[in-house]
Amino acid sequence: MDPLLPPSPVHVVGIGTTPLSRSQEHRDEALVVEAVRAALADAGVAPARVTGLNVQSHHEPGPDVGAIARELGTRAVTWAPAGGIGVPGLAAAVRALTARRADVVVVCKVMNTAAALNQPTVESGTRLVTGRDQYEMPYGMGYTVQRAALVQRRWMVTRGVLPDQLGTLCSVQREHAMLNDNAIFHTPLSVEDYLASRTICDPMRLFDCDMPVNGAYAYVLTSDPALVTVGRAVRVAGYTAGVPDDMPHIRREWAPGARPDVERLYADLGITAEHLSTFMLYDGFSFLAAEWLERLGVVGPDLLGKFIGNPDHLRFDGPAPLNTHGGQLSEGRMHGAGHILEAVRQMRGEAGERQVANPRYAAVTTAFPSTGSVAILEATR
Amino acid sequence: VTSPPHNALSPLPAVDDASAPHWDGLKRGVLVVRRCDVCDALNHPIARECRVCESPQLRWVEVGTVVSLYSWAVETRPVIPGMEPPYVIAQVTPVECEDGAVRLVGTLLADPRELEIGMPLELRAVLAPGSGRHLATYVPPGSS
Repeated sequence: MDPLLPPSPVHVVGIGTTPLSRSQEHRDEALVVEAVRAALADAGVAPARVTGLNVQSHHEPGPDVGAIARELGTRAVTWAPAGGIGVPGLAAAVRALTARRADVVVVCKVMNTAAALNQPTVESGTRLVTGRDQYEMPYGMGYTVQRAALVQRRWMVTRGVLPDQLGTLCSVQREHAMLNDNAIFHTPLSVEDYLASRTICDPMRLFDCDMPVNGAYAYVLTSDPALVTVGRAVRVAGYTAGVPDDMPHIRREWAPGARPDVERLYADLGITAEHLSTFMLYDGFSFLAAEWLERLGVVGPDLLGKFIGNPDHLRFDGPAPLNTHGGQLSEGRMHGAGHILEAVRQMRGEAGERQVANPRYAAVTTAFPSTGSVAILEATR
Repeated sequence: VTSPPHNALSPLPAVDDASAPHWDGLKRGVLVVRRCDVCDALNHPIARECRVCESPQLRWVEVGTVVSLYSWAVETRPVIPGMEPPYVIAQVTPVECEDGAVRLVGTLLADPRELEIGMPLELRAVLAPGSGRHLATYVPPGSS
């Protein structure tokens, strides 16, 4: 970002959700329409004002976006890319708004995963595996959870992080989920429960993995000052450009500690990690959220295990409120959208029982810390 | 976990022009990866361009049989047809790779309780059951 540019004029002005479910109860399109209508109502924006629509799904075939636009009653959509996730999706919408390709953008994540993408494929009958998978499948590796287990092992050993410390992080996120009516889990998770949960791919345990759910989460972004209500609008202060990556285990490893692109983002905004009020950190696997604390410069690699091992540090009323909605581990796997919506609630002061005191900046992250991306949202209160 | 987990149904590489030198190397019992003609950096066999300088000029080179252990995971579930759990998935770095940034996946034949990051391992190429293809397994030095 050029420091001479004026502050980003893009704000989140509305959020909306459907309930989350463990079963496939609705059509993709019905879920999207319900969440988008709720977000537009929250923003006080009529569907006819929508000029950008980004529907993100994780299955094929994806939803019929034309049918969604007709059902919503949008008439003037000029920007409608398919797909995306979390912060990279937010960043793409901000770029469309600043380039004046649209002035009101709705982003909606829908999870309704009967058949998810990224399943390993072996040619039936021949046992043969093509492309990059041929270097891994013959060794029994074809799933993201296995790749993540390799990253987790290396990370735990090199930082000296113990299983019960990761379990504490999971336990605190569950406490937060119990304060969130939309969360899929409503019962406590003790560190003992965590340690007793079954092994998925050692060192990965069941409760290290996020919880698949079905539902839709939407948010409304605008560059039109007339739609911005100071207090309820949340400014997109800045972001880093990451690359969503399903091969994190073969990418270059960053040096331990804060990342250079994060340091640049802080410098552009005139802040440090100490200015961040709350942390919505991607937790497709539990260790990712902890590693993000390190990458954001909140705590050094040598102290990370002890830091996350103290639940008082991570609770909504502690110094580093982490995933106050429960995260994907305990609210449900909404692929980065849950983190964005919770950051908006917190910056508005509308997070209810789990509200962080006097928040100013929220960090939101997506994907693996080695290659993922960061957004900073700022309260206008 | 000290004998190969592969059986007559386990996945095999669909060897093509872009990957044959790697798999033919294993048949000879050596690791074959790619080295950049311009900056000399070693690259993963799948690389189409150099990870350091982005040159597309990569050549195949032998990097011997000694690697160091980068990370490992123990798969305990039968998630891949033809792979009999438990087995150890290893990520290893050829010792010739100075910056440690080339990591190959293979099967580690060792007691998982006795593993340490950075420990040396030796390549032991094994014939996959029911095929003419060799796969990479790794063992601690001195294993029989």
